[in-house]
Amino acid sequence: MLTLSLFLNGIVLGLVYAAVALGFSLVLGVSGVINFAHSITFTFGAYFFWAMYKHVGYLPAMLLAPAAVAVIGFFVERLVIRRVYGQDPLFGLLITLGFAMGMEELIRMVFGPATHNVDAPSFANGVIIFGNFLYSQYRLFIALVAAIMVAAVWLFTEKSRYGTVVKAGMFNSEMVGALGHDLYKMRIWILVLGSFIAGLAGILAAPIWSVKSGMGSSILMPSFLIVLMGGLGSIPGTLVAGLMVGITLSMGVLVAPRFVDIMPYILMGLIVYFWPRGLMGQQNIIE
Amino acid sequence: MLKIENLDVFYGQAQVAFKISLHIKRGHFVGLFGRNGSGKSSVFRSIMGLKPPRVEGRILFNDTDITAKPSFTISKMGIGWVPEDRKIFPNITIKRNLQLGEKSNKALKSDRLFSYADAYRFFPKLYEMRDKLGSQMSGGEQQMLTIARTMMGNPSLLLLDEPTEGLAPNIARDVMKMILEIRKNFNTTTIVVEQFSETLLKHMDYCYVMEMGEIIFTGEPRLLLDDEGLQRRLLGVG
Repeated sequence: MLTLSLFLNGIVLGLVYAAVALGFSLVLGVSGVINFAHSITFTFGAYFFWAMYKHVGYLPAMLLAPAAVAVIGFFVERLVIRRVYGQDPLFGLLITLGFAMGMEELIRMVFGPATHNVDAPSFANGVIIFGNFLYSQYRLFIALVAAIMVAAVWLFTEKSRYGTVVKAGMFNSEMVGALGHDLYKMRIWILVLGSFIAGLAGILAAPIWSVKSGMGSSILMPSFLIVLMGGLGSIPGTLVAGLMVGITLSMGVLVAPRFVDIMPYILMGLIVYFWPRGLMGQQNIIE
Repeated sequence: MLKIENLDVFYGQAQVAFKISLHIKRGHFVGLFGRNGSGKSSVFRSIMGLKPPRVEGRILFNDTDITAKPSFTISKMGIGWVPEDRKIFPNITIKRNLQLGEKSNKALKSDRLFSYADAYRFFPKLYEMRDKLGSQMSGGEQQMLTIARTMMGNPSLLLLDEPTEGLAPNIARDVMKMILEIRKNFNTTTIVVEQFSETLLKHMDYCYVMEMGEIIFTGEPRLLLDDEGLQRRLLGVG
């Protein structure tokens, strides 16, 4: 039962990681910018939700908080990321990392250094019983919402006209522009979408991880690893890599509890060794 | 339709084209010939507003200054570009590649617009492969897709950069035949960059030859066609 419980926890964790990594991957794919400020949108999502859910209710706050994060994403693009388009990806990494660190300090100043608890919603508070196996209803709720987010992004990129432009832009942004598509606008919208998703993921994680200023940092490296493992811009790849990392971290405690934290890095090293573009990656604009 | 005045083109500090002036009339079929590295493709990149290069001088399209405007604006104004290395999108289907080129050109007066049916009629292979990924195409098929994709935008001015480069002679012949067919049907103003093409030259209204970033010949195609000595001297062929 413990093994099954850890396995399910791994899937839930993997889906949250995959949702965050998706935004990371899309932004990197269409703009060539390694946006480390993505982590802060995860934190903002959790804080905004914590600040408003008792006043407006759980479900309205679940929409309003990521919408506010999306607005932040818009301004991050205009004020920070736009400056590094077309430059060495290292510039983007440094400027967005610096921005994220600054924002983390700002959050600590405004909301204080204390950890804040968020209750699970009443409709998902409790356990589901299968025979003699109990599992948290809230974790199943997280899995459901995260899976819907991943599926929605997949549908958007695979089935919509604009999604086709996004996919093409990940391969050759110059040609997409020469065919009459406004790359600047596309990059803004993708960053807004990525911020919304990361903000929502932050909300989902809040009742389990608690709300704290450093929560974005703790999801940054797993997300980055997942992008590398899954392949830039590949949604199925991101999902598979997210689940691999989640399950490894969760079940690793059964095998070697002291080495759990390093396991995703070993996994990433192995995957990138055999598949340099990641599990399902293709040639892309940063090559 | 297109007027280029004293265009200087730079990659960083290096100047690759010097005081280029071209005048392209509506409906004309024009050649821009020259050896490798003569600066022909840089002129196309400059017209399309692609970076690099950096440009000085003026590029007027339908009397509007388009110098250094973003490429998506230039494309929307009605200039279509078929790049020399094709630049198809291998990660999406052929049908979606065509869809990416699709847009209406309000500036185009013609009531005859290029549609999916035209793309599949001129290039039947594209219809057969429409649900396959771009990565599954041969070089010749990719070139056909690139031309059809650009035509889907119904450009008023079509820029074809070495459309037969790297293709087997029979495929190159087919591609040239299709270019001429499309021109016959749509009368799109067209500029072709090539090292040299006798087949295309026979149908052209005008041609230019570039060498070391400068225009060294301007004139009627027959002057080049009839004079093998001139071909040899200017282009190293004939």
